Amino acid sequence: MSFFSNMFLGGVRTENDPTGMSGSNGNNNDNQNNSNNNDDEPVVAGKFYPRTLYKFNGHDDEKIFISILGRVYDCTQGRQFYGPSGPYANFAGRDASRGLATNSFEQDCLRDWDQPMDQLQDLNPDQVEQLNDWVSFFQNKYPCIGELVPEPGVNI
Amino acid sequence: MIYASRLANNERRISLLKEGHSFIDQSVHSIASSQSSKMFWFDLLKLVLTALVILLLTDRFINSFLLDFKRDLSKVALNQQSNISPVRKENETAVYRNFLAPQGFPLTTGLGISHGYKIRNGNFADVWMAIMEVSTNKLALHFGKDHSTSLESINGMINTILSNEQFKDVKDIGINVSVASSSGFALMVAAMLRSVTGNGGVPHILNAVPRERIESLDVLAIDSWSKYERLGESKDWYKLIIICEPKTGKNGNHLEYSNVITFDKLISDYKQDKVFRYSPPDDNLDDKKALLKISFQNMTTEFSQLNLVSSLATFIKGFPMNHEITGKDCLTILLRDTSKNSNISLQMWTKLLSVLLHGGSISFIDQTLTMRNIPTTTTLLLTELDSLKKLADSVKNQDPPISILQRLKLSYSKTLISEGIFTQVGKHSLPELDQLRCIFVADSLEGTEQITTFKSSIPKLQKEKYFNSLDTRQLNSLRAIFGSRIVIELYCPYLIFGPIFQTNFYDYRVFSDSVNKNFICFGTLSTSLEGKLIATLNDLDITKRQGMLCVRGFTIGKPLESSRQDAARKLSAQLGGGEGWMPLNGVFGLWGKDGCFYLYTDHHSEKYKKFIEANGLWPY
Repeated sequence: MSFFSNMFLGGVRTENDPTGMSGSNGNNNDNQNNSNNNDDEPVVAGKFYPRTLYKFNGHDDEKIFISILGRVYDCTQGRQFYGPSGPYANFAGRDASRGLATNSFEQDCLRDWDQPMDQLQDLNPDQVEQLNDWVSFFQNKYPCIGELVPEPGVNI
Repeated sequence: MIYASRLANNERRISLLKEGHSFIDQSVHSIASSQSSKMFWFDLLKLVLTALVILLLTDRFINSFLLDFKRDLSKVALNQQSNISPVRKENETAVYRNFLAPQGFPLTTGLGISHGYKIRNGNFADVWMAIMEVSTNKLALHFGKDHSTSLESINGMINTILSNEQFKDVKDIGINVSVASSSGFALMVAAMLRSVTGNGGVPHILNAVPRERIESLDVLAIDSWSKYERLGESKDWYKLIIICEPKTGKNGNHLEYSNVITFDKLISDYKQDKVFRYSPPDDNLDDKKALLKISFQNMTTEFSQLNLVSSLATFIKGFPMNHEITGKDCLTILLRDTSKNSNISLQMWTKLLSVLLHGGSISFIDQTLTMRNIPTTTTLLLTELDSLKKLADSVKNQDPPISILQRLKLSYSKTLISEGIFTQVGKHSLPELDQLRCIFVADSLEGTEQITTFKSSIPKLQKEKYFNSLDTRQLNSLRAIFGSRIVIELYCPYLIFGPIFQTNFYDYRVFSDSVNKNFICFGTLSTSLEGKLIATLNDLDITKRQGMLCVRGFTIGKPLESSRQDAARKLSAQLGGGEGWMPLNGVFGLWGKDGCFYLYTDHHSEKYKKFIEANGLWPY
């Protein structure tokens, strides 16, 4: 009877508390505006392990993070390239250094999250140069949000 | 005899039978009446139950379907008014933007004027030229109720001023004249045009006549001879003093001085002119050119051409579809006290120029405020909080008083608006409100000095600072009373051109008292700004999106003093993490789950209680 009672008694409809601070939910019970769950919360920039980075592949989580030379970039805006079905989808949520250096999209160039991190010691000078070009490209285009470090007991 | 006795027996039997019948009739009647009474109550109960069920079903239908279809903006949109960056730094919230400026895309930057295949941001001369191109020789500027003029006349005055030899080689022009007069308006526009077309001098908006010499100030414009008398020796500081009052009696003698001129004499041979001649450049090099300066407590801030055009574009694009600015719009600007209130005399330019760009008209009101002072053609109203309260009081105290029917309509209107459906049913029947479609309420951040000095010490959170701001219940009442949409804007005086935050055109939500007593909603960031909150030593939880506000974008002015510039850089690096972030020191708030910004208030504070005691609960 909310609408009629408000109309006849001179009341107004009150919305759910958008601040989340007062503990009040107003007089309507639809919870559609409280749809923000933990998945929507922003990720704190800082240290990532291969295991924690993996879920940001555009599929398990909407966000797309890619690591190059130990730095993690937020490539969510480049979803058409790095997102599911994109040409670089393999790189999403992983360390893409070797793939970019060798210009290869093959799975062989990527390490799983439970393997030791790639030290890239066998790259030749041309590949290193190409990798550095990619780094400057990513630095200019995408925000750097942290660094990728090996997880004790998993990657080292 | 036998026959007679039989007859008598028969009669006795008949009478007995009759008695019996009447007894049965009575019994039947009493039974029938008791049954009909039960039937009546049963029917009544059935009727009430049916009505109740219909009412419940109708209410359910209205709540679930009808209102959703009729709402101006869906709840989903109202609950997601910002774009939020997916990542945040430690001790900071995510970066928030207006929903119209998605993350990864540029913020609103300039007017996007096409010049061949190039796109330019534009400058003030572009804007004025475009205004003159769309002007239609109507009386587009109304200064009070008595004096109106056309843009062609103002343009004629401006061209005369700009061609005056005394203006050729001067630097800044100090303006201490109300823009709510044709002389003040023409001088201000002419001075702003010089900032692009001249030798670099810009208008300098002055709260008061300077007591200390400002090196860059070559011209001073004041509004009266009495002010001139009080200048004393400072008269010699200026190459030219313009007095916007006709010469009278002994005052005429001052004109013997070479550096004094009246505004009337300055424009003595002007003619109406529809054309403003200007050759726009091919590039965006004008972006960084200064537009104007404004001073506050011996601190001066400079705003650039880019600040103006970004703010203009933000305002114009902010109107939703089918509610855009048109040539029929008339913007009325309520100026409280123009000589003392330079914030609104600065901030009004965005709206003023936007309306003129669409061929609309402008009214300035700086008289005692009642609804009768407002032109009946007003469609948009720019006002500060105090002026709006005076207007609402004048509506409340109108003669004859509000009828019972009107009160019922008002109540219905409040309910419907709170449901998200805009209606003008409860609007008071005043001719001044007939065409009014939107009121812009300018609210300002408190502690301007703290913000503009860029002090590194962070003050404590004082929740009662914004006790006077409008909560959602008050806004609901005002929308119903004025029959107009209301947009609340939050300004940072003397530092940011245009609002930092503004509420959505369609946001009529009413929050519960527990929210209204603790928070004031200011909507989302302007599309030319982005913002974040940072953790400070105050008891605010950054994980709950609480903290001190930092902004960056294209409408922020530049402090002129080198000491303030250094302090601003230091504060930005220390608190905002550099990268162009400007902390607004002492501005504590939170991001709501709906993406809106909320400032703290405290309706339990003594300050608020005293305010209510003095003013009563407002509006009614």
